[in-house]
Amino acid sequence: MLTRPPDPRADSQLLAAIMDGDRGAFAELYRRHLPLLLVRLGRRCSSSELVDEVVQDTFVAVWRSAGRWDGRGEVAAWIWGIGIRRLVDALRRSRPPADELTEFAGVETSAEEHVLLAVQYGDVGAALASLSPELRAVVQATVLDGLTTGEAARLLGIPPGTVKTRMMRARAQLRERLA
Amino acid sequence: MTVWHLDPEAIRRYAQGAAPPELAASAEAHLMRCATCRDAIASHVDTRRVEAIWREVVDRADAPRPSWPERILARLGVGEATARLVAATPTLRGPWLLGIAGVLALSVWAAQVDERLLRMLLVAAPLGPLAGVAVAFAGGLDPTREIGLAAPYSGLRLLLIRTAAVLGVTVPIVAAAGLALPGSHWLAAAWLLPTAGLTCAALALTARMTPVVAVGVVATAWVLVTTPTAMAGHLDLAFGVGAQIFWLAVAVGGGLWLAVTRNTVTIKLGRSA
Amino acid sequence: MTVRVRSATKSFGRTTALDSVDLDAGHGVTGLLGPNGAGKTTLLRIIATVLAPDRGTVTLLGRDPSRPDDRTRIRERLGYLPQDAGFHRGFTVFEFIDYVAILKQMTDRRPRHDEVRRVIDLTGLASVSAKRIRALSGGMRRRVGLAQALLGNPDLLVLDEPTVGLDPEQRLRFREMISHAGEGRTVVMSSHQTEDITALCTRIAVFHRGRVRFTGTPNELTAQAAGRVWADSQRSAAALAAWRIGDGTFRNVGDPPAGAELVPPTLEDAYLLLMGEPDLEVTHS
Repeated sequence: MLTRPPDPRADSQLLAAIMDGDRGAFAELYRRHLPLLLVRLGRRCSSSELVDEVVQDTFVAVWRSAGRWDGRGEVAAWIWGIGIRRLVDALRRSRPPADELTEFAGVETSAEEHVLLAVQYGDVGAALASLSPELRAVVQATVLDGLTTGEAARLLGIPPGTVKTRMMRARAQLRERLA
Repeated sequence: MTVWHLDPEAIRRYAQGAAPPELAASAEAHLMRCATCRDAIASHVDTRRVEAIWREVVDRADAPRPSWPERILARLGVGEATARLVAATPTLRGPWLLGIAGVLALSVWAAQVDERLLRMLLVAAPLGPLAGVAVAFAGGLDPTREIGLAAPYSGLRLLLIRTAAVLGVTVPIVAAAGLALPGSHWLAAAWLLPTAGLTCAALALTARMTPVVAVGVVATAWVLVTTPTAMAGHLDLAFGVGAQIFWLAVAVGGGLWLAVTRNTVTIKLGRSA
Repeated sequence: MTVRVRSATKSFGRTTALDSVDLDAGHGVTGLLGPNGAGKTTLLRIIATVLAPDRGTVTLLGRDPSRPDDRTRIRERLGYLPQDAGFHRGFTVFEFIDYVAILKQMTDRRPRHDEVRRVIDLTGLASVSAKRIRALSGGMRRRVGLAQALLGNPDLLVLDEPTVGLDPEQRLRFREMISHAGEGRTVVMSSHQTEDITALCTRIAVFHRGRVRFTGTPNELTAQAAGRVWADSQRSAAALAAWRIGDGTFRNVGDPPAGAELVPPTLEDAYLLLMGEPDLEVTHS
């Protein structure tokens, strides 16, 4: 199933075929998008069982509601949107403990990575790197992951008010550094 | 379209969770837009995990979503496979149920008008469930009959499952009709044991004839015997304590006979031609 | 031999559908050829354990289908595509095949679903597995019928007119699938299309009016027509059947006059001769 020759169809065409009940197209979409979703969600939640479950839910949702894709933007981003929201829901159901959240601070950034960051974001990357882990997590959840304040609060296991205040502090620090 | 790609080392570090947050953030932003780099991630993900998740996904994706009768049965502890068989019983399709309910509603209305019709209703009540059993096995209505006949699933078991399903649905309908009747409420329940007895008798006859014929024979005998007594006002004869005990005995006897002969008797599920 | 039928006779009312028929079938594809109503379906239903003969003996997979226990064992290793395979039309492809899988006593949900997916992939139905059967074309429905017959990898596959109503391309696809299915197991199929039989079968039995007129290999049947097919510029009076072919000449089948220009026979010629009736409905290219 997962070792077929490459499918020439674009993601959007695959989604259209999925709406028509084409399981082959679904397998191809899964092949293309599962690895990133798995890795990306894995960076937000340390329980691999929970991530597996969320990924399953996500792709079942993609299968059942392929028609909801509005045709704008990347299919990958649409799938991510479903996935991260499912993760937030799953976390709300299954925990509180905040230690479920993976802390990814403390890894040094190499010189070449700084170059890469500069290509992608220019000074923003460097400014982001200088934030404290708590503030960075909030920026990541709201700005990069595209979550609402409430969703970010659930993902990070902190009150929504804290998300807002941290976001304000992060914004102030970033503005200062980029000024 | 992006013209540059993440270098393999960056992809490896990101995929293994070893990339620092700023790199991860920039990698993610790029990965959302670059199919080539997304594909490169795949080699860093455990294939068995990918396959395992796929199996779950595909099973949930194209497996049938259970219909509401199946969900109710599952709630009641009926196995998933059995519930599917029940749900595929032809009688349980809307039109047949509406037909049975419609006839009963008409009878109840008629019984309000004429007291003799009330007695006839008692005669007619067991016929609803019986007709349902016949419909469940009528060749033209079960399109998969021919395939079912060549399958190893026990014919008797299928017969019992479908009969139970039909009774489970039709008996409450008839009972509701009975409660809507004027007069004493025992009448509303008086037909239950006769129905059980008649059904068991019909099932026992399936060793000799097709279910449709068996139901026809039993129903005809019932109508011929009970109509004169009911019309003469001797409801006791057909529905009194003695009669109820008789029907209970028939039901138990028929059930025992089915249980004893289940391995030796061939159930004829449909016409033999 | 997986299938062994001896002197099987079956009547419906006053019609004799099968009249003392013998048939043996082992690994590979055995074809029953004959016009409609010749008794093919009756024999296939007997081999599928749906019907019991009035007289005669049947042995399937070494067992006796007239004994209930044996019959169940046979059915566990049997796949059957009936001629008029019906479907619960509200079911999706997956739901229908899943339903048949339950009838085949696969009660564990997970392995059953895996098996359903296997036959769906095998018959090229993956792209429509979630579609309702009533929305499918005739050819696709035929595939659904074949898919359910393949459930559980049966040792004996009984296919009644598997290629009927298919367009040429689907017919080729089906031939491929059936030929594949015939590897390592016994397939008994019927057809009134000589091309299907020629393409697929290692052995054939030709039926006519409830009797077997011929059993043997396709080549043996074709050889029977050697010396009885000739080309001519006109329809020959001596011919049992004659038709104009592409180059404008007539292909005559029957007893050739002296000096006729004989041509190599085909299985279809032999079939025509065997049936002995010029008005038989036979398709030819």
